[in-house]
Order: sequence, then C-alpha cells, then structure tokens
Amino acid sequence: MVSSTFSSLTLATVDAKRAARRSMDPDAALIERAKQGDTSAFRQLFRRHQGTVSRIVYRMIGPSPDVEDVVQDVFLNVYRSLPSFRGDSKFSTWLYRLATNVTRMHLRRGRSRPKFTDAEVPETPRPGGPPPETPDLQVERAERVRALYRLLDDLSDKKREVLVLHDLEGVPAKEIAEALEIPVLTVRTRLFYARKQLYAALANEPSLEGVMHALMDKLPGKPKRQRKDSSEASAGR
Amino acid sequence: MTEHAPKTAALIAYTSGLLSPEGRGRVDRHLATCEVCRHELAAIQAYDSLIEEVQSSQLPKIDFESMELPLQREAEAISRQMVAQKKRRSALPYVALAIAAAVGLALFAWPRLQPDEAPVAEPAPVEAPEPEEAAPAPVESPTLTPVVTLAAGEARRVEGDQTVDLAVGDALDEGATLATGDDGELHVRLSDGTGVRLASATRLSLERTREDGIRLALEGGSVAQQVAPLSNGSTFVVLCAGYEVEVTGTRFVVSYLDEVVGVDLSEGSLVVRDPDGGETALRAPARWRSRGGIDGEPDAPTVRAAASPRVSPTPVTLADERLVRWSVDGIEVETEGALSLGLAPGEHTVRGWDLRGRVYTATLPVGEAPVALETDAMTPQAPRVRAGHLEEAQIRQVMGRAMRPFRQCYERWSRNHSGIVRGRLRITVGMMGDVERVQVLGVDDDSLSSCIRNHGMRLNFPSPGGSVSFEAPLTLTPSR
Repeated sequence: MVSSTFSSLTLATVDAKRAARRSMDPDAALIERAKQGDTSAFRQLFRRHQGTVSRIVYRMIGPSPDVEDVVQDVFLNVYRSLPSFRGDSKFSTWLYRLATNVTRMHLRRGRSRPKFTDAEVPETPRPGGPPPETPDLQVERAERVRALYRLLDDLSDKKREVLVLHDLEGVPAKEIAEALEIPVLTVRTRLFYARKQLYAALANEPSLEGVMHALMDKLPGKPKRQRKDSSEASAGR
Repeated sequence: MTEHAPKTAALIAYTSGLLSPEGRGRVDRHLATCEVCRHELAAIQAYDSLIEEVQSSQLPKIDFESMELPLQREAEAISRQMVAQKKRRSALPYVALAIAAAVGLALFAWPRLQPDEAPVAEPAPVEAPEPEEAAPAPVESPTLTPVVTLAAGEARRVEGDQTVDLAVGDALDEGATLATGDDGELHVRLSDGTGVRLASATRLSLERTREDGIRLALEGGSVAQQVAPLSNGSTFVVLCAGYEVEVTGTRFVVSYLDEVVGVDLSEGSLVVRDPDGGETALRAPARWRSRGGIDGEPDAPTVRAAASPRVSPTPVTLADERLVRWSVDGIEVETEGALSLGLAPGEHTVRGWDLRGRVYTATLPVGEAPVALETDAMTPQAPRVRAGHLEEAQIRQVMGRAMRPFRQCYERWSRNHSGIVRGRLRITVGMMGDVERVQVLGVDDDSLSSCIRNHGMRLNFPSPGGSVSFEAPLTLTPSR
C-alpha cells in the first residue's frame, strides 16, 4: 500500500515535471501536431532546427557530399520517433541524440572505405564576423580548418561526439550527458582525452607548424632552439 | 629538456585563467625550464584559436529548400504506414477478445453437452460477441499541406468574423477560407505540386486537401488552377454556386462574377455539372459560362501584377525558353512558361529548372520601373555531386603507376635543387574515373608542384560512380 502510494506520488511528480518542461519548450505545440501526423508542423520543425542538425552532422563527418543525405536521414528519424518523444528532456536534447546516433551509423557504414576528404571546405567567414582577410590569409585559414577536420576524423566516435557538441556547438556537459545517455563525468573524461589527443596531433601537424612556433615564442621563458635536419629544411618546402 | 608527461589539466586551467596568482607563478617557473609543457601549452592555445576559426567559418551551403518536399513526402508515407500499423494493432485486442469469448463460451457449454441428456444433433456454433469498432475504420487519406507561395496586397485567411493576414511560407489547414481584397492576389501550392491562384476580390474555401481528392469552394471572384497529374481514384473538384467542375490533370480558371459561373480551360479536360444534374464535358481550349454555354477560345490564365498600397510591387516578367519551372527567393511561383508577377523593390534570387532538372540561377535587381529578365541571364549551376567509392587497393595501384612520372618531375627539379621532397597529394576523381582536381600540398616549389599536378591530372582511376577525394603521401628522394 505504502509502496503503491509512493509510486503513484513519484509518477505524479514525473508527470508534473514533464508537463512543466513541455509548457516551456517552444516546440511543444509543433511537436504535438507533428505527432498527430501533421506534416506541415513537421516542416516547421525542420525549418527551425535544420541549421543545428546540419552543423552537427557536418562537424561530425567533415566536408563530405553525404552531409545533405545524413541531415535528411536525421529528420526522417525524428519524424518516425516523434511518437516516442515524451517530453522528458528538451526537444533540442532529444534532437542531439538522434543526430549523433544517425551520424554514428553513417560513419560506421563508411568505415571500411579509405579516408576521403572533400575538396570543398568553407573558406569564407560567417557574415557579421571579423573583417575580410586577404586571399593568402583565407587560404591559410582554410588549410588550418581542413587540418582540424582531418584530426577530428582520427578521434573515436565517442570522443568526437562529445568534442563536437561541447567545443564546437557549445552544448553544456549536462545536456550532452542527457543526449548521449551517459554520466556527466564520462562526458568530461571523454572531452579531456579527446582534447589531449588533438593537442598531441596539432603539435605534429605541418600546416600549424608556423602557428605553433609563434605561440611558443610568446610563452614565458626562453624558447629552446629547434634542431632541424639541414637536408630536409632545404628540400623544396 | 625535462622528460616528463605534460601537465595538461594544469595547463588548461592556466590558459583558462583559473589558477591563483601563486599557482600561475609556479606554472610560469615550470614553463621556463620545461620544453614538453611549453609545447603542450602552445598546442592548447593553437587548439583554442582553431576552434574559434571553425566556429566562425560558414558551413557549405546546403540546399534545404529542395530537401523539404521529398522530406514531407517521406513523412507522409511514414504517417500512412504508422496509421495502418496502429489500426492493425488496435484490431488485435478485439480479435483476442473474440477468441477468448469463444473459448469461454465453449467451456461453459461443454458440461451441458455431456451424456444422459437427449442426443443433441450439433452444438450451435458459438458466435463471438461483436466487439465495438472491430473492423478498422477506413484510413484517412494524408493531407496535401497547402502553403502560401505569394501574398500580395490584401490576402487573408478568414476565421469566423476575424481575418488573419497571410505571408509567404504560411502553411494552411484543410478547411481554411481564403480571401483577397480588391488589390490582392494569393498563390497557394499543395505538396503534390498543384497550384491555386486567387485573383483580386476572391473568396475560396479549401474544403478538402487530401491525396485522394481536392475540393475547393469558390464563393466569389476568380481562381486559376494548375492541377498536378492525379493518381488513380483521386479527384479535383471546384464547387461554385451549385455548379461542380471536376478536373483530370489540367490548367483552368473558374470565376464567379456578376452571378455568372465561368470556366476557362487552357489545358486538359474537365466536366461541369450543373445543379440540375446536367453535365458538360470540355476539352481544351474552351470557355464555358453558366449563361451562354460553351464559347470559343479561353483567355490564357495570367498572373496579374497586383498593385498594393502596402507592398507596392513592381511588375516583373520572367521568360526563358529553356526553363519549365521557376522559383523566386526560394518560393516556387509558377510551373512553366513566362511568368508575370509583382515583386518588392530590391534584389531577388531567381532559380529555374529545365526539362532535365538542371538548375539555372540569376540575381534580379528590381527597382520601381517594370523589369523583364534578360534573355540568357540565367546561368547554369554546377550539379550536385554524389559520393562515389574507390577501394584503397585501387587507389594504391593507380598511385603506384603514377610514381614514375612524378619521379621524372623530381629528377628534372633535382638538376638545380637538392633534398628530399615530402608532401601530400589531394586528388578528386570524377564519376567516370577521370581526375578532376589535383592539389600538391607541402611542396613550395612551383615548377615541381606544377609538373606533379600536370601528371596527376592525366591519371585514370576505375569509375567510382560519383565524386571521390582522397589524400596520398608523396615522398621523393634522390635515387642511389
């Protein structure tokens, strides 16, 4: 008797929390309509979240002609899974989960292929960003961005997901934990080791050699003189 | 150099400014003597600035617009499947109930059918109780969501006594009543491609907008329709003053002006049913009036450039013989032929599609004077590239063969230079296996990289079935 009262109280609290979360979620009305099969509501959800999803997908799989297909896949999965969305978490959190799951499946399917990088990498800064750079600087910047995508490709899926969501998308660790259904501590651990792996890789990345030297020169203490193989240094580079 | 693992966590805290002045001093002193930690700190700072660069860089343009319609169609198909599954699932408990009831009744009846009773001919078949709504209800056909594609002047949705101004992109519900003022014009497109254009002073109800049938009720004014090819069993009907105009894939105008119902048919065929049950079949081109009957050639349904005191659009004419479909600022406004419409002053992005689906684009500056798109102003857009696939072994094989010409480039270069060349080749292979682009990375000498690039462009790979890019290391050393 006691336990049933307790469980009904717990359920009532959960329901109340869910209802409160739903009422705060700006997507709540659209989600309810889409759940009933209203495809125009779904279209509006697509318009509201297409930017976030495409950014996550692009940053997870890197420059690839598959980005559009994966984004489309994510939204089809959203539509299929909407009936199971109960409002326990924010819609955006749930969307992160679906986007990472679909992207992970896509990456697994393509894992056996050799590593490809698409030739087209965005080189223009976002509108409203810093003033335009000279073409040389743009090319250098684009090469650095490409280098980061190459290095991201070497991270395990688990590390990459956390790093992309946290460092590139700015999603708080708690929300990532909720989206990926892992403890917050695991998020922080993965993030730390992902960054550590990238620090080591960046230090050996040829396109960042100049940046690294400039940064080291600015650090406190005397920089030690770099030993260079004279034959390599003079060779066509 | 101090040989130890870098203190990454402490260095991150140092970079983020989380250390106390004492802690910061300790790290500063350590950095002065430790090359490993200096290197790690430089990498942390490089990473932070790189992340900022990536965050501020723009993503490649994704064509969300062309993604919307197929996505909505897929969603509608999923909806249909889900509804069908739900019906099947909801029927299951009733079936189980029926079986349980049958078994129960059989058990109940069994003792009564035992011996010492008069022989019973045959037990009466036990009928399961009829469950409520045991038969699945007919599945409602999916809706074809109407979306506003042009709203000029006074264009509104009527809800009882109230009206709501409509804007481009608004999705409309089934049953919505639409009205345009004396200076208004409204275009609506359904997700099957059917276009409906309300001229000025028109009132129309979207009574039914489903895949199996579209029914519009015209209360007054004039409405032009371009009906998408209808699938089997689906219908398109316009009701007007007791008349019914039923269509089978066509282009036509229905008007109700001065108490006369008019039909101007410019393409296809239709049937007009009058209130007394009489039918008139029309085949394009034809004109029909409720008073006066069939009458010669129809007026071509044209889109009037509305002059609105609020929007003040400029009349714009778009015409390009190659194109069969148009879109202005991402909104599809007409399906083929020349297009006349009103656009607000400013720059507008015009896209067009030819019969083979190729996309053409142009930026159209619109001022206050009428504008016509210049002939051949539309430039073709590069087709979307699909991903192909090459096995690693295939790449290795071709690259192995290519080493000989690359080496010749190196030997020519070595006449005036010395040293080892280390770099990377980034190669993009086209659909048929031809090389579309070669980038020589990490080699600064122009003559050498240009020679390697030229030879790279002549390579031939097995057809990957799409575009493939890959990177291969390139190391050239003096021969012994």
